[in-house]
Amino acid sequence: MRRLLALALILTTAACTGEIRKTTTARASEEQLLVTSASERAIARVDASKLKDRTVFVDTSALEAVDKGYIVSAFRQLCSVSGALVVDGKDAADVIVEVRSGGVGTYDLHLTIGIPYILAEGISVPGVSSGDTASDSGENDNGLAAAKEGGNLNELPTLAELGYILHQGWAKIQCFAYERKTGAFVFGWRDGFGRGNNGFTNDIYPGVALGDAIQKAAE
Amino acid sequence: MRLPSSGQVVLAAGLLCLAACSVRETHTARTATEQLLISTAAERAVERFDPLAQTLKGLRVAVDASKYESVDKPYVVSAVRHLVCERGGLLVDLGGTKYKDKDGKEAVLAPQRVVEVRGAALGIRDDAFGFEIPTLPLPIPQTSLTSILPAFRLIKRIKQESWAKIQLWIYDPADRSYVAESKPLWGSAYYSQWYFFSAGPFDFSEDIYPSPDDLLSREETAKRFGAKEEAN
Repeated sequence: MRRLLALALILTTAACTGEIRKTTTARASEEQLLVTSASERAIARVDASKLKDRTVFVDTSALEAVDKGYIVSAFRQLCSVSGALVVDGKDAADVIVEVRSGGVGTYDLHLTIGIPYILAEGISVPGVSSGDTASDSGENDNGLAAAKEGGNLNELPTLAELGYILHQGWAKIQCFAYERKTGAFVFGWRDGFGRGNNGFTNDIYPGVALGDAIQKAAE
Repeated sequence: MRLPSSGQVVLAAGLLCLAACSVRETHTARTATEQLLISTAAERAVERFDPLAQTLKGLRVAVDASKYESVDKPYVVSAVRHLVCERGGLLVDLGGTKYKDKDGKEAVLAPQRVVEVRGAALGIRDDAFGFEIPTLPLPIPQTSLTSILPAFRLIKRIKQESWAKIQLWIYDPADRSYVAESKPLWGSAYYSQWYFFSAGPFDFSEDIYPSPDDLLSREETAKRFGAKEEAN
């Protein structure tokens, strides 16, 4: 019996510790997929049929956006799919296509109903701190005083909440093309809007989200 | 002591598990809304140059944006170039477009008109209007504890309005003579968030986002990029 007790004590107090080093990317995959999906869908709206059989240079000097490399490559592909011969130098092209971005970013909606933390003297609350690090009150954050001092009463974390989070990526891509030698207009496109969605339904990850499955079942 | 039913235990265990779930979020530095407000206002301002742009038809035109400073400058400058070209102007570089003639000699297509751009403003005006009771600390009687009463918004509108004011004037680079100028070109756009009895935000009131009917789905996008149907 004593041996059993000793064994039980050893097993409960001895801890097998181990760790695998973990790092992560600066930008989450969701953000990247939202933005690139939106950009791709905006570019896909462009009707580049007038570039068929023309040598084309994609001029991106006016393009400023996150994931610019992805946008440029997608645009080059669209030109190529439309029958254009995409070249790498301006001098080798008949037609120059100038691309610009009216916005590539995320739209984030958080709707929540929650129970706020109860604040009390001497109790620190995660995510609440005063703006001034040199506090007179002592070593630890005083939850209520810190919240008042930091001016973030409206941003207090909640103890429990029920909510809906919607993330969307939006892109507005426009372009126009002109003859390199004469500067004459070839075609233009202003209606390049695209959206990526990740909420109850999602169209950025492979597979089907719960919301998509429910929608499909309802149809 | 009455023990919890098995259903209550399962529910409690489920809630405890949910409490441990989280997904890391990151966002772009500028929201889509801010970028769309700016670019939409700028686009509408540039469109007002249309009547004057039509007078450049058939002429070699260079756009000089060296005096133009604003947020999203490349977008605005490209929008001006697009409009000028679309209305029949022949776009050339400011210093002339170099090309090789039929004899192989290098020649320069000099501009016949220069459109100089300047910007008076391109930014966002933020305002809020409504009736609300602000966030208040709520002492709990008979204790030293304090909770927080969240803000109660009876009705509130938070509006972002973008404004663009751009001016363009045209001169002949051959003799530096004045040709024409546009009136101040104004453009604006808006995006509002509404709260009703603390429910919200509802952002149905805006003119920057397109209708969902105008957007392509994932499958349609893949087809347009030349993806072949997968064999079953």
